[in-house]
Amino acid sequence: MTAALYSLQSVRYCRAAAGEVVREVSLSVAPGEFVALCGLNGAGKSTLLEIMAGLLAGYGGACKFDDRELARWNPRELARSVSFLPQSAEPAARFTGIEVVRMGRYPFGAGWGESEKDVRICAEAMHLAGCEELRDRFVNQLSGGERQRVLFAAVLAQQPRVLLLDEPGTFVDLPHQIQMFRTLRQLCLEQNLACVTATHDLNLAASFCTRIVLLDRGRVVVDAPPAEALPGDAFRRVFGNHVRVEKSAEGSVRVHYEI
Amino acid sequence: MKSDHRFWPPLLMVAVIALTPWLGSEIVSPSALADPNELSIFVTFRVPRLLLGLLAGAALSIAGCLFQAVLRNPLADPFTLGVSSGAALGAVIVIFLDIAWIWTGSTLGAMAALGLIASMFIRQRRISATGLVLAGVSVNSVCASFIILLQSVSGFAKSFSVTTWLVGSVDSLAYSSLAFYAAVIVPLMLWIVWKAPDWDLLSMGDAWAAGRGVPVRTLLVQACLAGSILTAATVSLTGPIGFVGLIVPHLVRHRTGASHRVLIPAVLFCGAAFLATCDALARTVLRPAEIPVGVITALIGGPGLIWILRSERSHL
Repeated sequence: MTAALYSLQSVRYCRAAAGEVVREVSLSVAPGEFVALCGLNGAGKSTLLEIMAGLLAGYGGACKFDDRELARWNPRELARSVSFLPQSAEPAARFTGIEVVRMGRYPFGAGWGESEKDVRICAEAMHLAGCEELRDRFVNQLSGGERQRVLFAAVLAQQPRVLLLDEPGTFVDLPHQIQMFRTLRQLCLEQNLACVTATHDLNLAASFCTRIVLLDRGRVVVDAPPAEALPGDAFRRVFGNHVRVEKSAEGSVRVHYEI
Repeated sequence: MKSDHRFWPPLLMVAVIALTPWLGSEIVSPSALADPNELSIFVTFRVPRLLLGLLAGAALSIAGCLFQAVLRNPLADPFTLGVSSGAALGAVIVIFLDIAWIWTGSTLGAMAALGLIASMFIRQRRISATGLVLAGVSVNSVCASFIILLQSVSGFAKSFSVTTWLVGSVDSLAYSSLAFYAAVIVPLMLWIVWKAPDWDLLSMGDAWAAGRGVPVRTLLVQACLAGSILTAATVSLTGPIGFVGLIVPHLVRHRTGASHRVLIPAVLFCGAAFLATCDALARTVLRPAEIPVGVITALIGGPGLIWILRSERSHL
């Protein structure tokens, strides 16, 4: 068992308008893990990711990355290891695809000059994200899903040890969503990255993730591999009668919508 | 395609430097400078005026570009935000009190105005275009009312000097004042150019920038300070000249795209060229009379802005 990258102990966070949105969350994430963060709207998924990405100061409890409290990380230094895809990036700006992807190299000092290595990394990231054809298009003229794939490529170009993704599949068509999750799983299993992604797609989570964490009103109510987590009572309690989980003979699980 | 944006803006500025100093109430020909009298008039009046036009144009345009990036709002500029009016009010108060510290007054005024706007959006860092313009309008009108109030209680001579100053004009200055002005704004502008990758990230959203390791809050405070100082220093010398910070970044962005590594240097040169050209027009069109340059920028900038809003939205 390798040492955990992230370890969270009783993390709490209050938002001025919404009260306590994250309550007593304890969690650890090790290299090679692909964690799906599930839960209803307002369950605290985004807030938890923002805390882990170092965006929110003033949380309670302990949240350590690499055995160092997040508050003591310098933002640029942290960004060399942790790459965060927020829910609300607004590329209304007239940047080209490659200009956005290059932003992923910012923490390594590639603000002005660009090494051959940076060029290669950006091209690879665009290939992995399946958005090479968007290289020279203006992002403000792309569709929502195309834009999201460009942002995903930028996050990959950061070459982090941990990916924190807030609903990366938003607006993305199904084939590209599947490709995205397959890429993430490969990165986790083959290159020993860790990935925590908030998602509403339980089937993608079941098929690709190694672990599912279910948040309910700010608390972790389930933390287990998909085959154990999805059929459990906690899932039914949170999602009501709207989902039905089917277990196949080989142990994989499928989620059906009850309409 | 990219490299070409590196060359045309400086060339444009050089062309303006070469062509405009000869224009004015009297058209001077280069050969006339052989006469020492003509030469001394040229060096004492035309050259500093050209330099002030170039510096002030660059400063206002860069400040506009910076505000647009950090507020993620293409309508933000020293004038629409009310920063110029704040600086003007500060300066008028200082003139009214007969103190010689116009710089201090205008800087404090600019910061107060920006502080007022900032208090609106500091909670939720998202300010709509309408919200921004409304806030600017209210700051502008409050400042304008105070200025009128001060004018009505002050004597006729003082009131007149304030009025002419308020329209915004580029005048010949002593070289020492110019040097001081340049010493304040040039380092600030270089810093803004150097930070271009940061403005790229910030213009994509705070969370996006923070996720790439940008120290968002520190940088926002620094940007607001830099923008206010640029505006205040400029306003204290020229009065509030409107629309430069709005129109120049828009026109340039139209050609270069939003990447600040290309955009900001281009805006610097084009802003300088723009205001120097406007000033040359201002002193030539109704020769020998002069129009305040603020009138020219408003005449070009107002319709230009409407044209921009019509032709393309969300260009930032």
